Amino acid sequence: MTTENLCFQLLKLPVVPRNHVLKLFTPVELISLSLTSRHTKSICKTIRGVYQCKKGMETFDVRLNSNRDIRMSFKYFPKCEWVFHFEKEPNRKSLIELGLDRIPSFETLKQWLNRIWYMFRGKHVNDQKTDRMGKSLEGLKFLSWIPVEKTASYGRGAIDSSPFKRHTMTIYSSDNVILPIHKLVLYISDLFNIELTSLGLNYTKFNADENRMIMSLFVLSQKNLKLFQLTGITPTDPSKNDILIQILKNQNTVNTRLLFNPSPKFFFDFNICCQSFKVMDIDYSHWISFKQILEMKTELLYLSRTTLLENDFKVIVQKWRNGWTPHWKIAMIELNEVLNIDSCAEGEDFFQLENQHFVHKDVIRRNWPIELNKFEQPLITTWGTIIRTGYHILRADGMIASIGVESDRVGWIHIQSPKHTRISLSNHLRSYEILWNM
Amino acid sequence: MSCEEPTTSPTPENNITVVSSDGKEFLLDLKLTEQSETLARLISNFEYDRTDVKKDPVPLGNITSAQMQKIIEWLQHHRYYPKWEQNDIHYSTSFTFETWVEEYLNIPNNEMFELLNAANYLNIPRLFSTICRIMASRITGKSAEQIRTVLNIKTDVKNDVYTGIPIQEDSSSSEDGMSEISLSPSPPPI
Repeated sequence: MTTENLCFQLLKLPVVPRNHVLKLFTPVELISLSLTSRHTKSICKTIRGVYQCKKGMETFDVRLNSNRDIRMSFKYFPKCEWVFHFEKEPNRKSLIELGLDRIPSFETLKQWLNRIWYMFRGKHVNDQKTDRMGKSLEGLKFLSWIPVEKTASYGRGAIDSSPFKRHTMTIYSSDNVILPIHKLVLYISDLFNIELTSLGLNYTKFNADENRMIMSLFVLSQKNLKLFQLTGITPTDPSKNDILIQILKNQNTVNTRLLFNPSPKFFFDFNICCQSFKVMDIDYSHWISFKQILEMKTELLYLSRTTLLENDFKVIVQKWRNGWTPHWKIAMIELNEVLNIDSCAEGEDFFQLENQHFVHKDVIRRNWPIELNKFEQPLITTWGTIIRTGYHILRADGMIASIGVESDRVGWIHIQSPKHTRISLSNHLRSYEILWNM
Repeated sequence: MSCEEPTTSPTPENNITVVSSDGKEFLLDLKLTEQSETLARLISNFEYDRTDVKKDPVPLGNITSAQMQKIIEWLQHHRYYPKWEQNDIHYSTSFTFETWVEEYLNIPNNEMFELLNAANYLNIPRLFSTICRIMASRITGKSAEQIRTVLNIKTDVKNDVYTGIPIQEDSSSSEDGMSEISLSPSPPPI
């Protein structure tokens, strides 16, 4: 039998059956196939619009924290996620220090067994070929092309906590993982015609130069990065403040989650940022001043663990009632004390809304000249049910704002859009976290 | 007709004759042809399902007698199966095949290649999809080097992506103006 008989000549098939086969490939298989030749890469690129790749792709993330991962998730059923997990290759020096350099690795043992087997079969081991597979690719080493499959879920706090299949490929890289990860991101972007959607960075895991490099490669050079998430707990280390400021200066995404906990004296002036934010979600907001809240250029503002008090919240409400309009449409502010929402509307007549009238702006307008419409509304989400108590306030210019409190100290201000006829209220995981810890 | 255990014997009223590329005639039950969109359309266009219409043999110039025999075996086995519904959202890792299918397709790759072409030509979706799935599943867990071997791909990359070692070039498959593979490594050590 000739080689051609033994091989399946996939590339010699007519276009329709060939593409049909390729559409069934996993993303990892497509990457592997695309590496075989420039011709196959060009073929793989032509089928990049298949559902598995572009159409079904939900996220294409880089996470640089305790784990260094590239993650691709797909929204079709069954939901699944592909992870390229980077690990630093143990170097020879550290093995010598541990006295482990003389212990043969599993791969070495496998090669020895192969040699013995081939000796008996009278064949030569193709050393070059074995080496070619094992050697690194510009600092990258794919030890296996079989992903490890596990059932995973995003846990209690996720919007969708249903289980899904996670396929993980482990890639070993040399000292600096940032460049290899960037190389693979570029390759995947080119192959599947997709762009990085989010970056998760724990800045404490990298030095100042590495953080600069990360921001340059994964944020500044990306055109469509939708989410930037920054973590790192350094409340007692003010020396990290400069790095943080550099990172925040360079970040240009519209959706920003700042989950880091800086030292008490940390300050960042958001006016330096060129862009207006869509979402600004700050987990440790002790460094955010009252003035910054009033001036923040974002549509949605979520501030957890602030140092603000009830009186500050009351001032914001009063300012709005007096005609001031902030940049944000929604603000969630977790105060440093219990919030009595009635005190923010004290001394006024109010109308008690029944639950069925809660969402109708007409009912609120009909109650004029009564400006305050009190409500108590259960908000049902996958995280649980929470009761929000508050007031829809009608201003003289016809604008409506909904103020409310939940979990004792989480205050909300929704400036209702005049375009919509119904009241809308949003929610945030933080309120539920407080409830769970009560 | 060479297929095994026909449920109903073909009679001139309920069959047509197809002729393979090497001139062999096969009597084919009309019920079986429903699985082939090409044949079903042809029968409908020429009204071969009517008893009063003279049925000329249908030449299948792209299909050999061996392939036709194999295809008839498939059609017979799936005679009473419900209509195939295309479902492309699954990956190759999640495919399972019934024992009969595994045995049926336990054939050399070159035969599989020809059978896929025949299934494509006759437009038999179930057979076509099954072979595509089997082919895709053969790639699972393979590196670029292993895929080259399985699919007989000659690389046109100047440097091997793993080592930077130059590999023989196949000028016939390379395309002008193609950019270099972005994962190409630094030049090999001299």
